[in-house]
Amino acid sequence: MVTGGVLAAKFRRDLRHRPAQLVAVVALVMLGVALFGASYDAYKNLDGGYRALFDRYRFADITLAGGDAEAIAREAARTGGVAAAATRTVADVPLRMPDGATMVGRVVGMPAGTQPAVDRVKLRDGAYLDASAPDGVLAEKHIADHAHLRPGSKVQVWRDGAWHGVAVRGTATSPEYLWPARDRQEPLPAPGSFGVLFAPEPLARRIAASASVQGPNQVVVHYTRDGREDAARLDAALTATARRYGAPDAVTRADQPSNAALGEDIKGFSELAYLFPALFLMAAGVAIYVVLTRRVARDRSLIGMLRANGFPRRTVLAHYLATGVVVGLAGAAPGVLLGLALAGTVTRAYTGAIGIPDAQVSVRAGTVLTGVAFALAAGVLAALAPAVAAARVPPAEAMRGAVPSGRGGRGVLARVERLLPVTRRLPAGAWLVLRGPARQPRRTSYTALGVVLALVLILVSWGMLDTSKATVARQFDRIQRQDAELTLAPGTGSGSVPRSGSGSGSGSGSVPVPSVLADLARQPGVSAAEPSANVPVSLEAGGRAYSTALVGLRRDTSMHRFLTSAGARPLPARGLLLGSAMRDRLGLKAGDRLTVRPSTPAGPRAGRRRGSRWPGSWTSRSARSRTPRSGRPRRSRPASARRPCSCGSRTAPTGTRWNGPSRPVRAWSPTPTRGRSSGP
Amino acid sequence: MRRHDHGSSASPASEAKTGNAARVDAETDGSERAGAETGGRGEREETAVRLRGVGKSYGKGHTAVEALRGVDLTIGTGELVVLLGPSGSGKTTLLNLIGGIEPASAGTVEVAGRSLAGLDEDARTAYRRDAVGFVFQFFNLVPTLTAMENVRLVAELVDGERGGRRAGRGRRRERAREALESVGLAGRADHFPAQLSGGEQQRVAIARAIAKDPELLLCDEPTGALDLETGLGVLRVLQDLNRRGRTVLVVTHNAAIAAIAHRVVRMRSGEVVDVATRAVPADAGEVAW
Repeated sequence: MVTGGVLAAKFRRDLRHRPAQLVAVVALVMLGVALFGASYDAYKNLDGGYRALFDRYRFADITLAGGDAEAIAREAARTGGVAAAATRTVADVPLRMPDGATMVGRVVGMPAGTQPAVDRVKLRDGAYLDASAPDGVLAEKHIADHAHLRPGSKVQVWRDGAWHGVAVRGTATSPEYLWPARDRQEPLPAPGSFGVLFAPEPLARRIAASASVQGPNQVVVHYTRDGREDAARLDAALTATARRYGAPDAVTRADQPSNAALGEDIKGFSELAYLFPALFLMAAGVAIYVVLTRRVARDRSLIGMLRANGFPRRTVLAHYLATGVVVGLAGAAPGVLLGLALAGTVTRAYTGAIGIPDAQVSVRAGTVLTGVAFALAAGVLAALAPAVAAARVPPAEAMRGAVPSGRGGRGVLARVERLLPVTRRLPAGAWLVLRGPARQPRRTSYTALGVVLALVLILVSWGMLDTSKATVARQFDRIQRQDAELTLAPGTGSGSVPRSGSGSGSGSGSVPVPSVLADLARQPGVSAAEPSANVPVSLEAGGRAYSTALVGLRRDTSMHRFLTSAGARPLPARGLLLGSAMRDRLGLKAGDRLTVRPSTPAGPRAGRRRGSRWPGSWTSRSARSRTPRSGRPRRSRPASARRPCSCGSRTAPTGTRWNGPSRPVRAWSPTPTRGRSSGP
Repeated sequence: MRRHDHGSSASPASEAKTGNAARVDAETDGSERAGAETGGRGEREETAVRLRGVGKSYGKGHTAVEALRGVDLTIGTGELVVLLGPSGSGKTTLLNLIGGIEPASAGTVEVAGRSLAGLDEDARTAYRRDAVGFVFQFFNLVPTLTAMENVRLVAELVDGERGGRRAGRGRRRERAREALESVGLAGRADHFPAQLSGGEQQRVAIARAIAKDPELLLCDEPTGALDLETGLGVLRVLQDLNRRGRTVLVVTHNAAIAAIAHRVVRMRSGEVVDVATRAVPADAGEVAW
């Protein structure tokens, strides 16, 4: 095969003949490879980083809540494949930050003086928990950053009907709260509406006791490496063990709220790692095809000359195929370098944004080779058809020069002329324009495809942004219609909530719930206020179980809409309404029966619960919500709703951290299934 | 040496070219019309091209077009033959069949005693590479290569495919320079086609065709795109090459060019209608149109 020497010189000069065209196509390939390298390596970096982090801080493989935690831990520790099992106390309780903002936060018990066997934390600053400081706590990174907590800061915890101060000894990151998700149903708590304190176990128990949680209520289990390879079996075995000891709730690592949320997010990286590069490489492929097809057409008589002089077909094929190879390689080389640089930048930016302690950035030969292979494949595949066409050019025909094709163009235009006689009046110049593309229908189609792909690239990008905004708008404007939520203390369902006190100390009286609602409804700008309840439960059907929250609403609620493809539907008079995702997960259909088991709560989240008396906390949907809109029911106006506790207002999540495909907004998707409940 | 037995096998081309004389023999529709010696050129002993009952048709059924019908023609080695005829008469088709660019639909084509019938695509490609040089009406020079490179392009091909890379780049360059010198363009070797006149471009094309030392030079309307002056220059080159022993077949519709030929074959509607022999071909410089 003669491809060196003078023919190679021709090839080089052909490429240089239209430098802008060459640069454009190479840039497309480069972008495709760079995007692939950046997103795929970022995905691998994050995935690998999480795994390393989870190993280092012994992130729980399964968390078992409720029941006899000590007995479950003992049994779990004896199970093959389990590296460690530990008990702890976890409770959701009202917290008050130094600036007076309140929230329902979480207190997690840990051994003082030494890191726990499972779910360790990384100290960012200050000192670890110590038995000599029984009221000293560690503030989790997110709330520490939001509330500007530093070692020495004072945080108040509602316990036994009064605020009690605890001292922040340090701030820490935890594999459990890399993303500050309260639970699977609330993966996007508004900033400042949720926070975690790590407290010495005795302190955690005292605090939890006021939330009706007695003793350790969670078992966290860490598997060995071998055990993790058989995680499904271990999960099932430990879940069964937990059930035997009365623990209804088992959350695997995959379902752990923070991990699940992050998993969805980095899964988006892996999907984007193929989607956008594929679009760019397709666009590059189309560009190469069109450019090369034009070149082959232009070189037709030269190809005829080469063939007539005895150049074999394979030489002609290789000559034109080389364009695809060179463009692929020329795009791949800078694309790989750019991709590697971007992967590191994206990884560091992402881990920095969500506070992952150690960013893991690696150069992977596999990614480099795959990127080069993608670019080469795009170039070669795109060049193949024109190159084969060039090699098959019959020399005799080629030397007669290009014959304008009468097929397609003339036929199509003739039909147009017949159908629309008025077109015959078009000037010759117009027909010239029309016949050009019509004479080469295939080339025209590919040119159009290139334009389509370019548009797709733009529309996909904008579409993702729009989808994110639309999803958030749908969820927070059309489905969840309340402008603000007021979380009431357990027990207020019986008729009263505590009046807030200032600082630590006991509550000073209580306010009946109906009175609270009436008070809220009277506030300026408030058009409606409704009660609701939120109870952690485990739903079981057909051998499948899922931990979720059972939300109780008035049947005629105006705060929440249940959207289906046919429009909004009301709550059923009996039974439960499930979201379609839940329905699919549990394999249910309308009319099926399922079992509802109340989970042992990490702490009460319900607005109406019997038991200890809690103050409430206020979460406003957004500043916009403070402006009343007629006919829109809402709860109250934050600034004026200071009873029964001090309140803090937060801006609603915008969703911009979540890419469209991976944003977990499926709990209330639009095909509810009515079922009947049966008590355990 | 004389050879009148056109059916006998030909000696190798190199041997044919050593003879400075060849016998001209032509047949039309099976009847020999001319068999004269060309004065001043010595004896011809080899048959360069022999066509027997050659036909070529395109398409099938009622749309089939017969471009050539029962053509018999013999061209001696070292002869300069002009194929003359109007557009569509089949002269270029005949050239393509002799050049192995297309296979004949009927009859046999032999070049230097080698039959082209039944050759597959690869064998025809090898034949074109080794035995034939083409000159086209529109030159078909590669615009991004210099004159020297255009010539070397073909020289490299022949070296590469004949396993002659050992000849080295220097030898190929030398051969290309010789080819350019033979057409009087050694001084324009580094010029690109766009920097050359039409006549110079055609001379580069001729140099390219002879750089591989072919047995047969096939020229399709070599002056068709040129004015008189430059056209005459090209004819001079072709005649000079022929005088140095190379067999040249020129296809043209320009009757004036027939003056330089040893023999003029007239075609019409796919058939050879006349063969005329010139005892003393005119010098290219005497031609005018």
